[in-house]
Amino acid sequence: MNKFKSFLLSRKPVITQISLILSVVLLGYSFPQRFSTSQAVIDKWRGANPALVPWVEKLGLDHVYTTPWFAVILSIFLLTLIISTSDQIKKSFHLTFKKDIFTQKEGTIIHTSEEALVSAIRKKGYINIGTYEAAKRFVKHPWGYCGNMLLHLGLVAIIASSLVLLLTQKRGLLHLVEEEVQEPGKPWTVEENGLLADRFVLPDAIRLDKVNYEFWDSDDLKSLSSDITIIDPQGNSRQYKPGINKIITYKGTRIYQSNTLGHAFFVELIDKEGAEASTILLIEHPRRRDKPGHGSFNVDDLPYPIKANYFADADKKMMTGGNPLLNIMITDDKNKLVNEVSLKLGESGELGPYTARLVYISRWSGLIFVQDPGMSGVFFGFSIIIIGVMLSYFTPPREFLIRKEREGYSLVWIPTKFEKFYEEEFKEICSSFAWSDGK
Amino acid sequence: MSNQYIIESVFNWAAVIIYAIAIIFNAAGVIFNKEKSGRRSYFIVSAGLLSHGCALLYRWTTSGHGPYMVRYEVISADAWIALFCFLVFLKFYPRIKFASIIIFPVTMLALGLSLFFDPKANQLPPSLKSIWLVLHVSFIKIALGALLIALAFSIFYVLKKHTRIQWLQKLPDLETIDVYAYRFAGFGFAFWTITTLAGSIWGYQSWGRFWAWDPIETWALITWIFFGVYLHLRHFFGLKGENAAYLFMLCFLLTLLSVFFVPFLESSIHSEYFK
Repeated sequence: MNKFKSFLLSRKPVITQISLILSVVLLGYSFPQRFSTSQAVIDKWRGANPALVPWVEKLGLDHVYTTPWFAVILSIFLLTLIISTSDQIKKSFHLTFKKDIFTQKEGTIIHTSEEALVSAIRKKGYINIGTYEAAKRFVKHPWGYCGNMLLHLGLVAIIASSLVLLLTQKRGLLHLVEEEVQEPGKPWTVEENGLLADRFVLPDAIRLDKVNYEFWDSDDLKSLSSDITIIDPQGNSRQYKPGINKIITYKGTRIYQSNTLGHAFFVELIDKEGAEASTILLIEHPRRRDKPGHGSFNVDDLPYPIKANYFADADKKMMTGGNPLLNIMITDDKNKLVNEVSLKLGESGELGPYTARLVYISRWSGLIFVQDPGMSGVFFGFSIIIIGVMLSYFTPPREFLIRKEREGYSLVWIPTKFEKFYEEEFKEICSSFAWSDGK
Repeated sequence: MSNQYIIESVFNWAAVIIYAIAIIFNAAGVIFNKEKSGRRSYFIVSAGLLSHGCALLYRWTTSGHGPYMVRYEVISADAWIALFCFLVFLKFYPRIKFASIIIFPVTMLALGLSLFFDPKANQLPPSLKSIWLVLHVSFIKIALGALLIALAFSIFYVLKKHTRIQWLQKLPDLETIDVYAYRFAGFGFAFWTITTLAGSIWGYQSWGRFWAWDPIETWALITWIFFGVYLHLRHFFGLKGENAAYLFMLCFLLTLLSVFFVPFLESSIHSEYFK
């Protein structure tokens, strides 16, 4: 057991584990990750790198942080940290409460009374934390001995909590149009679950009542919130207003306002035979008043892919006008434009073999739902690390040992770290009294 | 150019000129043993810091948000906080005064560089309206200030060991220089850690993720791990001296890469407004 422990804590395995984690981070950086990249970008990347696609499939390189092999690496690192932390706990306990305080270091003989020497040491901020046999021990910042232990403990807490999150967290994104109701169990726009998590189901039905947004004069988004109603199975309803940085918690699920928003265009398409097809085009809001927002769609019963864009205001003079201008384009298999039409609310026009009519416009926005047990462990770990780092680097402990000798008192100074920073403390004490070399 | 930018420019250019004068006085003090000049350089640089601070404060009041939205204000604020941190640390650790030979010029150059960027202020998007963002940004700037001092001592170590430059002989002995580099690297690491915590709370509050693996987060984590390895090797495996100095320089290069270059190369929540 001791051999295994020494092996895990020796330099090469520790550096190997850190390097492995760094390599995973670099892999995640080099390969587009599913959770943070749109499907279109992933498809484009795959098209450009066909030779790498089998490796991506086999090793899960497009979701490295949720692969079983990453969980294994993280677990080994966690084991090493736990062993190291247990060592650090023993070490800090020993350093703080050690009984074997006699040191090989030669003391300096101070020719003065014990009271005067102790008073000078105390003035420097040293605390008497024990008298053992004939020696007294004074320590400045004894809590600094806990620094490394807390740093390691914090890392353990973060990695353990991250593993819990990796295995159990549930996240779902919904793009809802005003007045749309999402029932529990209906599919999400995007769903992302931990390795061991079952399907994420909404606690109750949710209806998006209204999307509220404002833009700055520069066309940047100023504020965004959604009025929602949550309806339980008994039909009782409660209103909420999540906004960006304004989170709602409902039955253990946190509800976030996503920063995605736009308009939903209800379009009717009628072919030459009079057959009707209707569709709703959800398009992201334009970033600027003179630049359109874009979307691509495949509509059931339609042989053509549809591309669409819109300006928030048909005159391109504002971001929040009630008069959006929609452009619909149909393309062939080779993405070549077949026909296009521009429509405002209530207008109709010819779109290839169809007559298109814009019958209704509404707003939509994204809402994110999260269940993440383990999250508090991550923040607890972070806080512990910070306390540990602060104790280690801001309050490094140092000690004085004094012992009665025939001609005065033997004074030994023991800095644990950054000796050159604090050597003046020792020199000043010595220079306050008559002293001689202890040899 | 609007009145707002004229007022800022006057304060900023005044600061650049005052910093330049302080650099001359400081060099005379450190390199040519003119003690009086050396002492005066601190008064002069403080005047520059005041003028520079006025420019930042004026911008903060007129734009309605802190200096974390566009390159001009970000780099200018980085420079101000680096110098401010140095002067505060100097109160507690007077022996770091030699680092002024690096800190003063870096401050002036960074402020000068910021003035070449478009000063047009951006409006604050809703996701950036959070106290945690202010803490996140403040602590990364303080971390940079501490790391810059550690860099100065790492460079001093290598120069003193391998050259016979006269003024370097006035510096403390190599062992002390090494300890100073170690200590300030530790401070930088501590503030970098707090930056990460504040950022993760902000991220969790804004979009429900404490970590989103965006390019800047990823590079900041890589840099944090490298600093962790540096400190770990020093504490547990006896790394010191020249090898430690070179490893620190590598870590500092990574810092520059993650803080200043990745935002220009990659798209992320950190760089959306920084570009």
